[in-house]
Amino acid sequence: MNVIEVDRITKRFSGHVAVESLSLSVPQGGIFGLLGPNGAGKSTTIRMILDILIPDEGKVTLFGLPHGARTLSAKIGFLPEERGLYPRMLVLDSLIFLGQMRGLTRVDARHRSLWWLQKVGLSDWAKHKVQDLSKGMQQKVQLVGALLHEPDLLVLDEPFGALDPVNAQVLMDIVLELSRNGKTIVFSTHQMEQAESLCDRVVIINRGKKVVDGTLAEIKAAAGTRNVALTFTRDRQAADPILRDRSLVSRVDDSGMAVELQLAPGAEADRLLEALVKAGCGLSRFELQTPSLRAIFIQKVGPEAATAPAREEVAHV
Amino acid sequence: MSKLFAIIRREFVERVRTKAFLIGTVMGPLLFYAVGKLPQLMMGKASGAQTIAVVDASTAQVSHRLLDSLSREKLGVGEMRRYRFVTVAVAPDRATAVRDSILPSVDQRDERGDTDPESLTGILVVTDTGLAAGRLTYLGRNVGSIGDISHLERALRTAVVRERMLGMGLSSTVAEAATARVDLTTAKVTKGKLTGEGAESAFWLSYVLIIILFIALMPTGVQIMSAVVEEKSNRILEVLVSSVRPFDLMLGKVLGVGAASLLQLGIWGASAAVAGRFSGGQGNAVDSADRVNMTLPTIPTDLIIVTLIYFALGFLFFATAYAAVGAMCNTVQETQQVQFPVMGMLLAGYLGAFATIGRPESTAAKIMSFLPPTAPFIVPTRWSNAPLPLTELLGSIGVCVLGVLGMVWLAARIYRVGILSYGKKPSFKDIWVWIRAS
Repeated sequence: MNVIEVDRITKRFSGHVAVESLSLSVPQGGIFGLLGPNGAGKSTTIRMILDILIPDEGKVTLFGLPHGARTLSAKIGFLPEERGLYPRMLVLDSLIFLGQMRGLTRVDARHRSLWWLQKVGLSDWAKHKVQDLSKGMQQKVQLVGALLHEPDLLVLDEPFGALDPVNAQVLMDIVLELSRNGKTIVFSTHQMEQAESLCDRVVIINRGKKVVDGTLAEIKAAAGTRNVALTFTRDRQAADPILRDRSLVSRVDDSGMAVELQLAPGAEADRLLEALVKAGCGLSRFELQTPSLRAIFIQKVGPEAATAPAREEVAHV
Repeated sequence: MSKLFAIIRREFVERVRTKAFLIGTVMGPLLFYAVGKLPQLMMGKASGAQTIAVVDASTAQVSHRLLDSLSREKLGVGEMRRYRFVTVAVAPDRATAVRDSILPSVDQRDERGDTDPESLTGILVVTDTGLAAGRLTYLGRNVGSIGDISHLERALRTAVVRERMLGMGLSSTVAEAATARVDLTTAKVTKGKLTGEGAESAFWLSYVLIIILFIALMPTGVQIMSAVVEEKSNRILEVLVSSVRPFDLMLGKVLGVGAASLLQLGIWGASAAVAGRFSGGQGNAVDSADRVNMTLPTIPTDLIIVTLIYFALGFLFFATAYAAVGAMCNTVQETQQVQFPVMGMLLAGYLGAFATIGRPESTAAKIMSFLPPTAPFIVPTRWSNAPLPLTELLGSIGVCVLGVLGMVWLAARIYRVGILSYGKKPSFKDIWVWIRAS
């Protein structure tokens, strides 16, 4: 059974289509990445999954049940993109309130909040106002608020966006631990490195449409091993004409002595190696690689990502 | 249900904990005290102990008899006398000269410009011609105080009449009895029935009711509106909307903020009642006979019930309207324009109630009793004059309940979409789309 089944949902905001006939399935367990550039429709998709917005067309099924996310809210945790807490409320009160919103009793919510605050090292801050906390601490509190009620499905919208690497790692460890305990986690991001290190499955959307869907292994396999990583030891300039040869090389990520390139369609890796050796370049590394998720993302989404449509969110219905 | 309660609880607790609430709770009674005091101040601030020089040029030297009752008056509850008279007996032709010679001693100031309490407050000139013509002269620093002067005038009038009676050979007992004070006890009659209230108290009751309703409704509505706008800038709304209906969210906010306002009003009411008891209606200001009747009359139970019913109806109507306005806007500045229709309705009720305060049976008052925005002001005000016929009351309540339901329905539809809409301010066309959306 799939935890989330999205069937051809479409959402339009006064004139522009935010999400167009998007379908995706999230199986039970594991970490699912919803990827895309800014403005691709990730948050809108999440809002439709969570019953915050109603799709204009199509439907969302959760846990195979005929109820919306609101009815099933006790089984779902949600971390919105930043600012998901009342700034003037005390940390402990905020958590208790969020727990109550997911169906916990006050006493139970309080008990669990204190346990979690201890776990994330924020016990001393329980009686402080949320606004007195640093961004990283606030994000920890938000995450705790999203999983106090031990949801089967946890939806995180850009959870690590504004965090420094140390805090991001703390949160990632919590997410990984939940995943190991059989929970299903969906998170959206535009940071491919995070997605690559965490996700089992990903969907990449661009301009409201799905462009990639599958497990990380499938996607990489489909992209093929067309990438070559080179490290020069001498005569780097002798390689320039070869790297510019479009019958051999289609794209170069040039960092001087270290170069990553993509082979041109039909070109063979051994021909490239032969050409480089003939030109007299010294090489310490010549490695065929599967492309990184980042490379696949840029390839699929392309320069369009830079011209994402402006957000326009009036007249959500 | 428990989620709705949690929302109400949060709104209530977070509001009551703020400094603004504490300050408002303390400042409210002070403001009321000031407003209550204002009419007295306008009547002229009564002076404390007064020292009056009496230039007695009458042949019979009557001044000590004239001023006998006044000189026995005490100031407040203490032992201090209100008046201290310094009598100067002079020949009739010397009255003006002596008066002028004393003038420099009146209202002497210290170097800071404050009145020296030991200096003379004023000079009273008593002459035979004056007594005969009923025209005495008083020169003093407190002639601007209507309270002081009317008090002095009233006491002197009685004393002079008594003096004349004695002059006609009547015994002092007779004179005393003939000039005994007469008070008028008023009672209001409506449609041939006694209402059990004095005329003044009925007026003040209506007046106070209107102000209380307005104070209870207006700032609370604005608070709800600002709270919604503030919440819109925060993504916690998304978390909440993914687990509770927007309708519950709106209702929770309205009821939570409403409960906090009721608590504040309750504290104000209780402090007013306590303050009223302790001051014991004494008031050091003007003599009890002159004092404007500002003490709250006993409020009949039926009026309390009617007022509470209409308060609830008015509160739900305006609070949900304000919540909808908040949902339409992204900043507090934007609300200034958008709230205009709601503010207009509120003011219509407020001003309409004042306009019909003395004419509870006028056509205007009757029409406004059947309009949901104005009825919460008009009906309790009318009721304070005289109970409405049962059919009229039930009809009015019925219309108001329908109005509240309509407003809640409308506000909920605007709220549901509005709270998740950011960016440009919605046009009326957008809002129409929101309302019609399923």
